[in-house]
Amino acid sequence: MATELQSPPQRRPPVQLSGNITTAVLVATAATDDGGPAAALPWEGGTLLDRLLTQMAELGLRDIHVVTRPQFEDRLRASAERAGATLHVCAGPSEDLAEVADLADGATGGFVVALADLVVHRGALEGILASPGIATGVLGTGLGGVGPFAIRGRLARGRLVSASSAYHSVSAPRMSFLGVLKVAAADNATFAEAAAELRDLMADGPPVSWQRELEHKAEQWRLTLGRATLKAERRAARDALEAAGRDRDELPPMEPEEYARRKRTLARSLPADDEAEFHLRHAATQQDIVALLLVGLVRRGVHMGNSFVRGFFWARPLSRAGIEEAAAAIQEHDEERVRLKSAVKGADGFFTTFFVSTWSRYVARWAGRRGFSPNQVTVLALCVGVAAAAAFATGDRAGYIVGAVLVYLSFVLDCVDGQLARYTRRYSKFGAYIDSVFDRSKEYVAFAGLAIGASSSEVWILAGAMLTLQTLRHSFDFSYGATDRQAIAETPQPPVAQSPDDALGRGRMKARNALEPKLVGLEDRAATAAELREAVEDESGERPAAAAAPRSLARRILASWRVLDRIPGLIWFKKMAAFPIGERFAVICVTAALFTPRTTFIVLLAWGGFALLYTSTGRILRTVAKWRSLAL
Amino acid sequence: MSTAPGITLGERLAHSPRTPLEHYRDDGPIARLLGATVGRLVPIPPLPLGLIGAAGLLAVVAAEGDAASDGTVAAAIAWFVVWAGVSSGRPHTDRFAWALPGVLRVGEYGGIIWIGATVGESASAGAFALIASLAFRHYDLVYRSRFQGKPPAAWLDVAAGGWEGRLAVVTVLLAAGAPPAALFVLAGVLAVVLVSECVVSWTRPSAAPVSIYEDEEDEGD
Repeated sequence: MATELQSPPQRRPPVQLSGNITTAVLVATAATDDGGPAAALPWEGGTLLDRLLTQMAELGLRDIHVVTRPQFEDRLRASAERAGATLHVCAGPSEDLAEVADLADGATGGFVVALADLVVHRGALEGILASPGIATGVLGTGLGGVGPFAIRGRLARGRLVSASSAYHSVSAPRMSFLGVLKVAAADNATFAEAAAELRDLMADGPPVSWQRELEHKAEQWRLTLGRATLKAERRAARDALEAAGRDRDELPPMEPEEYARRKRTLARSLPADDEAEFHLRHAATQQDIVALLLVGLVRRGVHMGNSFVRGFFWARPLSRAGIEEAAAAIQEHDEERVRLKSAVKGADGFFTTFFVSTWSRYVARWAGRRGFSPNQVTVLALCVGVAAAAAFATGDRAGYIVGAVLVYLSFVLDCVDGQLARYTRRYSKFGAYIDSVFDRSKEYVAFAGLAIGASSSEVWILAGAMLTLQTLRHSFDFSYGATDRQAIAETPQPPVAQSPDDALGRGRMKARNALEPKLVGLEDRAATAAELREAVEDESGERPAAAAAPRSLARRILASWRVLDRIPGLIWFKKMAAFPIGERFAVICVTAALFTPRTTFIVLLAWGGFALLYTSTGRILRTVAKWRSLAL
Repeated sequence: MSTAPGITLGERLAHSPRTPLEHYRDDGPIARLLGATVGRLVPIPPLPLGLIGAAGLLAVVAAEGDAASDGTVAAAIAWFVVWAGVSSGRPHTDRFAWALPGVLRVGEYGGIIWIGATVGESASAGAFALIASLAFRHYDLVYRSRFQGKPPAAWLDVAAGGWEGRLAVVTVLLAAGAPPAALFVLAGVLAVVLVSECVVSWTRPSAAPVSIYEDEEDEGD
């Protein structure tokens, strides 16, 4: 109830779900610290399961199933019956998977499969379930902030190309999976096959190689927790020095080997609450069929999208303490404000971010409350753009100034339509199409207006040159993207029976299995090079150079280019160098108001030409690097 | 004639593009004919062919400027059309093939702007109008595939002439002394045809699956 004090309760209209989703499967198989179901943990007068069941119903899902264990049945039956959901009582993961396979086999509607013990804002669920850009996909977040136990994944061009589970590992992870999986109706057959295959694999418990993977994961989790404990120890020691009126840096740095040894010792004997958390998560992950189904789909080559949770609240509290923490933390997230903030695209350029989105989101909210549709705003933006061109066409100073203001307004409206669509979740393919086409139209109509205003053959030629340059850049963008996506789609996936996600991983797995019997416990292992590097980084705050593998020139250039991203603020220069739409409209505004159309086109051509060289260089380097890595 | 058995020239000409890159090329009948005949016999990847064509055209543009004679214009355009047309018959599988549609855009738009410039005055405005119509076609090729799940109607590949067909028409118009008016007329006719086909396609409910368009955005946390 406390959250309602913060933002007034608002009945949001139902949203249009994409992917023809009709069925929800909530997986209530994880236990909490008192041995009961985590889904029955209390939340706002009900349980976590009640909250999710309500959210699913509000999203328009009518066919809801809850999968649980015999020992949890009594605690969950009432919730399921109240919500009209079907309860499936299964002895273990293999039976869960059998139920899912049966549901998916021949089903006409798509699925959402989610853990039943999540606390998640409805906005985050809408983000994945209502976005037309995601047919089959997941709710995800970055690598940070979700703790060491998270299920990880790797994205390529926004597509999830690898994922982990209790029994699968992912190389070079880039994101974390948040326990919500969406399967479009079109993928039902593959989904049923994946579930059936996993059911068979798990029929006699996880295969031996899978158990090894889980053991390895458990070891890594312990080491991560041990490292955190050690860092906390060191911090406390420094705080104590400071409290005694001495310098924090008087604490002598630990030798890397000593650091790694201490970390291992701590990993073996974790503090009681870490130990309890470890056991909860270790047990829960073995009951998590959502992650298994995710790996099953990815390994079958299904195109998996990803919707980032962005500012919305998400937590998986498996204990009373966890629930209290989540209840306090959700206070920090005003869902309505997050919803508005997340309506702004994350990838916008400098001008759009600082001169448009700062206030256009409020226009979007106003338009949303007045019932304007995104497409109405798109059409209005085009009209204002045409008016701007007409003002430019007058050819006098007043016309140029009025045109500049209208160009800016038209661009603001152009941002409003997308933000309004995301804010109200009123997406449409047609809307996305006319938004894209009208954007370009406005730009080129403005060119024509300026050229008419200048009434010179030379300016017409410059305008034509700029139009050609923009079309060329657009062609490179999309052709490169199409080639890249095709290569991603054609990369073969290993079978789901295999734990690691690639050939490199297979080698690693073999080495690990060969090594395993010789190792009695954590403490007997020598510190690895990676651990020593980690120790240096923790102690000195400096990032030591990784042992350099032989790399091609192209890869080295690309790597050092990415290093630049760590310099704060530089990312904006990189974005500006690519001359995105906001910057182009800004150039038109400023130069048209102050100078002549000829100047406008020369600035546009110079900046655009630089952007073409800049982006093409990056692409050529990447193409060469990929070529080399395939040849090896 | 054909290297693959059982496929006639006619079938090859009728063959509609399969990969996104082939769609983005926007080839017309002449380019397809060149690709299906000469293209099969030239063991060169498509991008060098396109670059030779475009480089030759742009070199003449740079050297002659708006003083070029109609004959020079026709020869330079023909040079580009032949080389880049032949490239349509080569498999677009090499790693730099993504640059090819862009090269075709530069050749086509550049050629039209040049023709407008050689005529002078309002012909440059006419050339701008024409390439603006073409820009609609080329954005439409990308965005319709992306948001509608299927590219524009196949008959437009022929009706719109392809990049090489339009260059040929504009060159003939130049020789006939028809610009500037003819450029505006051509731009208008193309715009009407392209936009009508597009509107019709959106009024018909599409059975095609949602195209998956990805956001390149990342979560910075």
